[in-house]
Amino acid sequence: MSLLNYKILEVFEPNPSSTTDSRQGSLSVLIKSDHEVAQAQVYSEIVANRLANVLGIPVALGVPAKHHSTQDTINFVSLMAYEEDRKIFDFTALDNKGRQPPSRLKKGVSSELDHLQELLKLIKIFPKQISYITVFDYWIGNQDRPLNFKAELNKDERGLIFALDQGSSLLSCKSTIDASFEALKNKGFPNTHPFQKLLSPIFVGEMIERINGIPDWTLESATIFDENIGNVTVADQYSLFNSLKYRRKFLREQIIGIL
Amino acid sequence: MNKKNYDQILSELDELTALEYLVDDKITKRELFHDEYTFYRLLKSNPMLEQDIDERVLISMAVELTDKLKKSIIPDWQNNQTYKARIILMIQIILKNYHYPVSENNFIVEQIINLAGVFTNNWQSRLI
Repeated sequence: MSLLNYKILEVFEPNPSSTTDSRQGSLSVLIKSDHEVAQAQVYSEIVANRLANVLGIPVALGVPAKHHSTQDTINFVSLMAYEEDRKIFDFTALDNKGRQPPSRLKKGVSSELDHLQELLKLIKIFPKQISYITVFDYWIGNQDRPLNFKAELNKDERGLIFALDQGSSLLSCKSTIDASFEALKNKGFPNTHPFQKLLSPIFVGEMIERINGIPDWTLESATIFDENIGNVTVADQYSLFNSLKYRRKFLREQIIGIL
Repeated sequence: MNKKNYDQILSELDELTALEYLVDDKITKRELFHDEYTFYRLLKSNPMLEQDIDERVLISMAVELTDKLKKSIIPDWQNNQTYKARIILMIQIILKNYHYPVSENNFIVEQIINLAGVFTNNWQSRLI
């Protein structure tokens, strides 16, 4: 997996008490909180991030964070990538759809997708990562992958790709926690994905094996905390742990449907 | 549960735990809070429990169970069947993690739920 660097905003004076020549500084971050239409966004982002790292899914790292002005509120901060030394195509940007879609498009691939030409190029350059991300999205119930990734498309050598924003997955895949649990029970959810019909059977098989091979204790460590996180109680967290164990049983069946 | 029953049960539990503190030299008030100790007694009273279970394990389980129940209490949880099922699942997983014996009829889980119901008002009043 490529190493993603994050963007340092400021570097302060050396820490006088440090024996390792360390300095304090600040990173560039994107701050997210729970809100009315995403009541469990913070918890879901934290868990999706932990799971992605266990599985080797290329995602921008994020951490729980607080600010003195909102002491009681836990936020999720996603670290911003350092992009100045790379030419990274931003799929998160709006697409004006100026170009014609290719005439021969595989059945099942939507010609309405934003950045379609770049997306098709992306599939050729990063077949493994795209397959990994797609299987992961199905497992965590992420229906919001379109536009939520960035990649290098113009390098001669293999470049960098990373996914970001898993805030509409897990207990935040619907606006309320109860509705999200209902959706996660459904084998037909998510019902679409931008990479469907563009996947490599070998690589999706590999990721399905990885997900099913996660020991229960690892899954438990990634999903259950000793405290309520935002609107998500400890009991909700145990139920999500159980939902993910249930969902991985039919993951193969789900993915076969989009190959 | 009406108020009289609730007060009566709490009072009985107080008496029970006060006695236990005096007679059981392994457990002290400094180690366990009142609610934790009550759950500990409940877990220890299970007839399916082997005699040689490590006392520290039982105490750890009681502490974790109490803490997580306390944090999972939401208003009217006992009448919200969907949410109550999540609490039951949580209890089952915690007991399983500690290799605690659970009968097929989930009797101990039911007892834990009932005891959580007794403490609910007390736990919620601390949050206000």
